[in-house]
Amino acid sequence: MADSRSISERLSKLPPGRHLIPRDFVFQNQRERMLLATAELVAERGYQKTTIELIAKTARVALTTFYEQFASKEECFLAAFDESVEAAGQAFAELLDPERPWVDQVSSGLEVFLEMVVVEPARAKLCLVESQAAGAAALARYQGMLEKVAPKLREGRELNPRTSRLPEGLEVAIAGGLAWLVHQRLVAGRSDELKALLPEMLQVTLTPYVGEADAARAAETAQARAAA
Amino acid sequence: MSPRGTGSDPYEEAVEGLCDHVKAAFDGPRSWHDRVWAGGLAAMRYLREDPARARLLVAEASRGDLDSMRRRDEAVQLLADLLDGARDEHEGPRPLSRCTAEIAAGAVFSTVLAKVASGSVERGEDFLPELVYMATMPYLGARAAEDELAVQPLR
Repeated sequence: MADSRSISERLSKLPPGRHLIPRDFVFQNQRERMLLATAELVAERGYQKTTIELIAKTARVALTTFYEQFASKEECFLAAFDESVEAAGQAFAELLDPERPWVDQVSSGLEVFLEMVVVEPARAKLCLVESQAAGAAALARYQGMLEKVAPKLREGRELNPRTSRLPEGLEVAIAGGLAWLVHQRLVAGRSDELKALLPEMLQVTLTPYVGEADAARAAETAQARAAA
Repeated sequence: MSPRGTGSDPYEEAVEGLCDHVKAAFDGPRSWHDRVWAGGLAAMRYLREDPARARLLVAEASRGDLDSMRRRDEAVQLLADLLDGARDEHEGPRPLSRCTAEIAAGAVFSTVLAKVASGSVERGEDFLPELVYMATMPYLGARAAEDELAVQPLR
């Protein structure tokens, strides 16, 4: 999931001059550096104040290399967004067991999500904060990301005997509410608080499906697990 | 971007107008539950009164400059403040913190964005019960919040 190397290590440049490294590898390495640089810069300065020149300089690539791979800053930003969401999706797929009870899956999913935010704050900020400030295409990506969460939450409707009464947009709204909370903590530079909020986040998320008592029990379990 | 309240920026004006309407409707000696409905009705009337202004509120909330994002965040935090008033009356199995109000406010905001963007306001669709559900569910519980969905608000 998280890469423990420092940013400078992760941005390490390929050896200069002629070498025998395959062209595809070089292309991919440069791309990864530019996407990582974009995430770091956008998290630090905001989308508006991040320039193509800065991305190229931080990624240690030539300006022409940037334009070989991206037509604009927006295209690069969207690629960084897509790559981050895909990496998160892979982590969820690897770490979550779909055979476990739904409540446990949601609990673990939220825990993994918060862990990702804390370990990769730049990527989290890119996806949850700056995507809402980077134009219509980025905003649509953000909305799409919330919608990706919806099917897993929607499975919980089977646990509510009055499921037909639940609002159609409930799952996207819950995802939006959770994302908003994380957004606020990231903007305030208080992402270190997030893990402690897991029980309450879980309680709000589960209540529409399993009711207050079971949601509270799951929250208590999460709290006890965190304390241990 | 103009400073807050100078009235020369349409987005600033629209957000401030929405916040003022909701706050004014929410204030009063009624129960928290009734005040949520009153605030929600005021918001819906404000959005329906001028669908172009509703679209502007959504489009400009993501235009990317720091002032508009700050203003949008303040508006959602104001909603969280109003909802957080229910915490003391909450009798659920676990105590709640302000975090719950922020999630509920974010859920309401997310729903409004989606509804405005999909043209619900222009079509005159009534999504107020859905908003009230999102706002009250963490405090009143699942079943009570579901009952809100059956309410036909006065137009």
